[in-house]
Amino acid sequence: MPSTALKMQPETRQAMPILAVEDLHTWFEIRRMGFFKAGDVRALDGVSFELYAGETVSIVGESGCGKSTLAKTILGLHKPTKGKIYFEGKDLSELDKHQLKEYRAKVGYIQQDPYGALPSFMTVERILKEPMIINGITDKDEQKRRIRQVLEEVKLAPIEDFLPKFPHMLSGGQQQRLVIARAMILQPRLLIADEPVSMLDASVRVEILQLLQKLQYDHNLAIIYITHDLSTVRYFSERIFSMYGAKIIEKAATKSLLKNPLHPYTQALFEATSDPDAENLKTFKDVPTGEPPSLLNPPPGCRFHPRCRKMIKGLCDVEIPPEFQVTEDQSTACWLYKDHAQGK
Amino acid sequence: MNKIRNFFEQLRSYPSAFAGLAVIVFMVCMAIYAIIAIPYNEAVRLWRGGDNVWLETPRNASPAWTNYFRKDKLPETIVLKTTEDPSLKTVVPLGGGVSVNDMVFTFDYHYDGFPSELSMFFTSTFKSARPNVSIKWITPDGREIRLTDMSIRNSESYRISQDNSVSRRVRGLAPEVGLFADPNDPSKVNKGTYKVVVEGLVFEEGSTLDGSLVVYGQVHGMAGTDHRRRDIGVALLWGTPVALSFGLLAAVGSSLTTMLLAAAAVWFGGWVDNVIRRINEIVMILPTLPILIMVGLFYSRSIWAILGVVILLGIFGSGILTYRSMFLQVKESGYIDAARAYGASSGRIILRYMIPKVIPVLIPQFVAQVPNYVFLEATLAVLGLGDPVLPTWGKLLNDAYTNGALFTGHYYWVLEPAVLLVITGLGFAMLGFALDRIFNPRLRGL
Repeated sequence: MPSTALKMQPETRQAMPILAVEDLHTWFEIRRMGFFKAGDVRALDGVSFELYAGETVSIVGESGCGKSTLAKTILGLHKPTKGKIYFEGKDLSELDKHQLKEYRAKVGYIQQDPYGALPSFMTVERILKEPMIINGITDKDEQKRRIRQVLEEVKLAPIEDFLPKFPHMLSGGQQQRLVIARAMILQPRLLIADEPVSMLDASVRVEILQLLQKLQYDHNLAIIYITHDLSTVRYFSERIFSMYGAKIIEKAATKSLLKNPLHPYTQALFEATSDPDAENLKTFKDVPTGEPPSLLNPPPGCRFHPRCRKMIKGLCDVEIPPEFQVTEDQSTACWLYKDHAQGK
Repeated sequence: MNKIRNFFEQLRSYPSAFAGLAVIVFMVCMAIYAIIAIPYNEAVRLWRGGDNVWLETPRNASPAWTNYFRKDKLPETIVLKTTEDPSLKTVVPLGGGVSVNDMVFTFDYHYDGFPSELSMFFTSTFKSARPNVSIKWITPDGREIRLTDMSIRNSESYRISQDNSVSRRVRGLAPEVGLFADPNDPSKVNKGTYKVVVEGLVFEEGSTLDGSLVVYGQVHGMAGTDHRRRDIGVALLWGTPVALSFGLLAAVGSSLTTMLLAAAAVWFGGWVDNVIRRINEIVMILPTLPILIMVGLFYSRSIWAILGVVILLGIFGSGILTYRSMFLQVKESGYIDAARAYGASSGRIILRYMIPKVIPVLIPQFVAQVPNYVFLEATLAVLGLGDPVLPTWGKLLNDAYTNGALFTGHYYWVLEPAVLLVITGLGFAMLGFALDRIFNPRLRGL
């Protein structure tokens, strides 16, 4: 796969991030017998980051660490409990209904299961028209022009053949292309791709990822790429955020992270990646035991400390680690690096 | 278009569905025919018009087709009128305003059964002197039996079958039997040509006299008549559109509303969901039939009022819980999230995204529900709570029941509406079962 991922250098970035997330919390209330509050599931617990136009950020982490909740909170599908989301400098919580609709048009959403993401009772044409109708693009010619354009972009050709089809008549790859086309039809500035290839055949994955890259290049899109498949990450993104237990525990440029993961969890994550290399026969992988933390009742201190081999007694299990800026493009929330300067 | 063709292709593998569809199409055609052939006002007049409307039809007559199944053919009604056939009447002026108005009603009688009744009706115009008539009965073997002499008012009916003096003249038999009986064997009909001769005298210039003879048969029309001489066929025909529209409207009204409520409950959740579920739990335990009986007794028996109450009570029930569970699943679908992400409003998501997903499940249930409501309407009518104006199947059953139709042997009176009800139910049920298999993937291949 060609690597266009590192085309953007930090100095070329615009001053203002397209998306800024500050101390975002999304908690889901658990009720007992419908009335009494039994506690909160802390699906997101203090997440902050910035994203610039034209940049791809991968978010990696195991199942249940809050990756999808982060995506849905940014999309406005979940209401944040605390914290702020700024899009192009504007605080989302202060937008009125009309502005919120405009915001939603500027953010595209690509889901994991392409078949579930498409209404089975609508034709391809209808599926692509819906977002335009909802967002006030009612001119028939303009609708046709846009449908033609996005279908060409996602390479669903010949277009006329696809328009009257229903989703179940398409292959998995074609369905995902249609989902991407739908996300692109409102000409978004930001794409949120929530495991876009994890349900596809290995042969189709590369095509879809290349397609996303091309779209990003052509439209200067910012992409948040959520995945647990680390093998695709290295080709695709400029920065990687590693999540564990509803928090981002490491942020790094892809190159640095691949060379030298800092956080013990990130290290373990990369250890666990399978790599078809004959050398692997002779080496032993040190994969941490245990289970992901309960988000209803998370462990004190660092969320990873019960599974961490390098745990510092009396610190890791007591105090929540702040973010340490270890190198210029790599920061982590781990007490092992407490000698480095604290990030923001 | 492709979808529809596909659907019929699938339907082809279920012959019962086609039978059901054929029955429904037949019923719909019958309903349309009824509305066109007998407009509403005409139907109401025929059903509630009063005795004058039914003057010339027999009472409690069997359907005409019963004759095909019996050896002794029963008579049909014979009506002879001088107003319609002036050749029956001869007018001979005698001078001084007096004239002879003779009427001869001739008819062939070849049936094996006796008529049920015998009547004559006269109309006349005069200033002060009433016309006089003298009526004679001439049998095929030439016997002459004097019936009566009478003077005629503007409108006069002479019920021969109730005239005891005639009865005495025919050996004590009922007139309609005695006048037709074979003199040697009174249990047999003397077949041949009968004549009723009316010798009339009018006493004024310009005065007129007309008469008619009605020999009431024992069979009438396609469906027979009831105790008030009404043609049951009118009620059978008009019962069809009433039953179908009641069933369809009630099914559409209640199931669509049910679906909307369930979708809204699921989508908005929270207190909306709670309120809808609590109301549902309350309404579910309300007894439908007693409530409808109370509405019929104390409020209105109009079919529209009943329909409204039926829909209101039909909205709630186990259906709302079934749909709710389906919608809970639909709500979690990725495409709903996607729709929210591109800004679809709540109303649009409910109507355009959630309901279409569940509609395939609704259709078979909806089709199977129609006969329930048809039966419900008939049930109410049987209980005497039918619409007071419209003729319906249920009201026929009610009339048959109150007049003891089965004790008196008028089985057709009960069977005809019952068969129509059963056929309707069967048609919708057969179609519903097949649709259920087509639309419900879990039942496919069974």
